[in-house]
Amino acid sequence: MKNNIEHNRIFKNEKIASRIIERQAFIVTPLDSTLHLLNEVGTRIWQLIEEKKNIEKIIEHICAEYDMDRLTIERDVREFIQILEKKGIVEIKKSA
Amino acid sequence: MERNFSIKIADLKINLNDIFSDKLRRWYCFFLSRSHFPEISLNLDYIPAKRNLPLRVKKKEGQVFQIERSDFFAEIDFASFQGELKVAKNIYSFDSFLRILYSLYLLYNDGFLLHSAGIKKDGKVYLFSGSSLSGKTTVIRHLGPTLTNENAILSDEIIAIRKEKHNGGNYFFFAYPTPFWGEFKSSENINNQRAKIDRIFFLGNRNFAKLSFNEAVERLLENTIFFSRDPSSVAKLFNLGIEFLQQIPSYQLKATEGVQSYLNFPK
Repeated sequence: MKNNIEHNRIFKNEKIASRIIERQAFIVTPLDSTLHLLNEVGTRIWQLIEEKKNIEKIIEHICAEYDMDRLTIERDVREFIQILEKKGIVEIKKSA
Repeated sequence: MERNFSIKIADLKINLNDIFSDKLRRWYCFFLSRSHFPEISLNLDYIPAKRNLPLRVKKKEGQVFQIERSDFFAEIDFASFQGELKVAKNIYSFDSFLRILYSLYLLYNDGFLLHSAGIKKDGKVYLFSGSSLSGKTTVIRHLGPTLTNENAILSDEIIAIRKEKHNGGNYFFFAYPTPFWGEFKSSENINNQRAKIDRIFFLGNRNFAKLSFNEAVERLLENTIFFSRDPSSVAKLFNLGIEFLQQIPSYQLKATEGVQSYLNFPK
């Protein structure tokens, strides 16, 4: 069965500390006291997560803002969000 | 007979009932306070060291922190300013505990401890931050002879930093000396007063250059001394660090470079 991840909701982990400064996101995860620096696209995705967009909406925004093919963007956004989830920075919850 | 005495670091005091105070008084002689209004009262007792208990700093309910290691156990309430400390009867155990306590105590007062050497020259503080063997003591050795004031070295190992009002006006970052020294440990007099921070140099293998903001954040967090994983404390520390770097120019520097010439380098 296909997992329709695009409609899943992404929640920022309330325990992390984050700031966007000069268009770069800085994220600190308290459990391992690690600083994560996001690149330009990562920072844009982070902003969209903070705006409570689901994955489908995030992909739409990135497609509209960056000159890349949609398939690459879809793959990269999904992979990026899965990395954030593995690091405990976000939680992904299935839409009801 | 029980005697009390107070230690003051970065204008933050703890009051201790006497256990082995003669040694403590000598060790912290430049950081004793005569004030009768301690901010934290610690009931001190001593215990034999246990084996193989790694450091654990845990936030319990409210503002209570539990700090535990093989050679000490403490529970401190930062709301009521009361605490208990059981520590092995040696200065090194007590000193290790004190660093951890002040890492928390400072954060409650908009401050933090930084692995850094620091000197004061013409009323300004210059910080040289880095891990062990990064060259903090080397810098102090190079700069020492150029300093005219005998109180000019704040520490060669750990500096206390606080965000405070200056003359009742704007907030600035100030550096304070600490009793936490490395190999340069000096018997010279230490003036336990704050001074405004002018700039910070992060020591490493690269030649002098201005640091990008990202790199500066990474370097600052690497060198900040903090042991708690409590999310709200980590978030507060992170935001304070960002604010610090937005105000204080940061550079990279080799400890072996002609450090003196970079103190007045145009910002």
